Amino acid sequence: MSSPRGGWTAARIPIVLNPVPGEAIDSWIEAYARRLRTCSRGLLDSLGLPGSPRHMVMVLTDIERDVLAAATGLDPDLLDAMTLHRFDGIAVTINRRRRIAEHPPAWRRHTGSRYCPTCLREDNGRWQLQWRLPWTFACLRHHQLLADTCLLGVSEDADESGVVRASCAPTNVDAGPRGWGVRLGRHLADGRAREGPPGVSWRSAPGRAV
Amino acid sequence: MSPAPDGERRYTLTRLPGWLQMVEAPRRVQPRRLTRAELTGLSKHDRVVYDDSRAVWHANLGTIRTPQLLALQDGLAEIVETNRHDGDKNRPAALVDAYPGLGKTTAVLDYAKTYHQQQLELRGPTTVDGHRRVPVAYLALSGNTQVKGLNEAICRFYGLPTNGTTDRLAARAVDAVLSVNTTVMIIDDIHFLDVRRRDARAMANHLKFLSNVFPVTLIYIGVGVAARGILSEGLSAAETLYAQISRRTTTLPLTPFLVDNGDGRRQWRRLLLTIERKLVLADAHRGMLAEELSDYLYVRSTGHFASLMTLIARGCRRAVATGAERLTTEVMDKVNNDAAAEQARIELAAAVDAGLFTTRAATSTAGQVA
Repeated sequence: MSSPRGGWTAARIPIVLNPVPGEAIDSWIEAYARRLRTCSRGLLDSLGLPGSPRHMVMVLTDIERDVLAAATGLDPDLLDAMTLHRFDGIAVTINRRRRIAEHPPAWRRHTGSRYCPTCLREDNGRWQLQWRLPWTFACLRHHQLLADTCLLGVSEDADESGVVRASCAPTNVDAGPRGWGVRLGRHLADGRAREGPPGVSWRSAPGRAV
Repeated sequence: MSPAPDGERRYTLTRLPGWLQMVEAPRRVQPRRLTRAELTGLSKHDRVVYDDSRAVWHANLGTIRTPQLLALQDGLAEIVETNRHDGDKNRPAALVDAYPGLGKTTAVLDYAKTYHQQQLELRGPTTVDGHRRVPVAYLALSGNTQVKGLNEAICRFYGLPTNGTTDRLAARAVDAVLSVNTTVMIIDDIHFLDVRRRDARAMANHLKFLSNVFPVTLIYIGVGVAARGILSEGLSAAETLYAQISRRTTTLPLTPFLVDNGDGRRQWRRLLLTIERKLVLADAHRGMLAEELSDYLYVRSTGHFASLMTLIARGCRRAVATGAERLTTEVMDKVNNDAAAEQARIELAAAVDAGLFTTRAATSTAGQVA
């Protein structure tokens, strides 16, 4: 079924969205779905993949890798490199049966993903894989600490002192890029979420120079 | 012993992979015509394989460029290739409106295949934005296609998700058409659009919307479209002036072979000569169709191209199965054809028997069809 024309195979989605360098696979799926005017679930359903991007970012199953490679034209090795798979046993501990992250071997437990709001704004809400690693705490591109709480929540739900309420982002940044990240990137762009809100701890103070 | 490939191409044109398979399929290779002695010399397995390859070949003799087909394609090319207006101008559409059995879809697909290939040759397989270039999209309406279903069909053709609201689907469809630079969209079986139904009026309006927002040439294919009032969008005669589809659509006919004059009979003869050259039967010979079966085949097909090709394919199958290895009236008499052709056959056969009708160009009894 492969076409000799320009490397296009028949099974490929004709509309292309390539990942940005270093992007996590769940972020890319979300962005691709947005490009196709649907949600991640809509895109994955159309490809016949029942799995969740939250699990895919841990490790891909063989079927997921094959289907995504065929549908998007990306190299299977590149797809694997967009997951935490290669950090398993080093910076993260992946429960392969449940495809979730457990307590890392030598690092403080870290759920979800940190983020650089400036990167999110500039890259239109695309999330870096390395932000999920416990040893990554600063953005070398923008020379600032990464945030690990929800700026969207800070902007919309913070109390008078600017302290983030637990309810503003129910799963903290564990929500990852499931729509929320895209919203955050957008809100950072239009000023509805603020960078470097006052009164929050250093871990939540993006924009602080390092 | 490895199983022989069945040779059939099972593509679905309403999905992009199937469409591309049709567009990119190499021309079929005609099986070599074996003599009776060579046939007898084949092993049992080789004979089965050979007969199977003949069956596939006879069922897919390829598009025969009849004068009618060439005239239709010329009309399509005129409309499509002059539709180079800027995006703010509506592009006129084409409607191929003809009776069943004339090969409407085959003729349009043959044109679309060439157009698709030419566009890729001219502009490359990838758009400026890095997407796949898909110059032609093909949709087929069904009896209950509604607005949402049409948008779903467009998204499904491109292999895109089909979830979401009608508006979301429409936005996705428009985005896809623009992204992959589709310039021709074929909507087959447009006669399923019953404009007397309330939802069908909405559908007609939606088609107008598509022709407004898509920078594409729409090619509708249907049966009795003008008679059903689809072009006039179900409006009354007084309101027909407001029917924009009618104003923007050029109707292209596809006529049956008519043998009521010398030119028509010569065209019919040329068609049969072309077909008989393609047949892979041991005892096939020049004149087998054009001389011996000319009247007979016209009567059975009533000059309808698709009916004729069905008849030929079935006749060849029977000629192989019975060992006749040639087409004769005895072989063909046992072949069933479509119901419409069979009904019309009765009247024509009576005219031939009465000497009132012939398809042969050389004879002087060029009577009219009774």
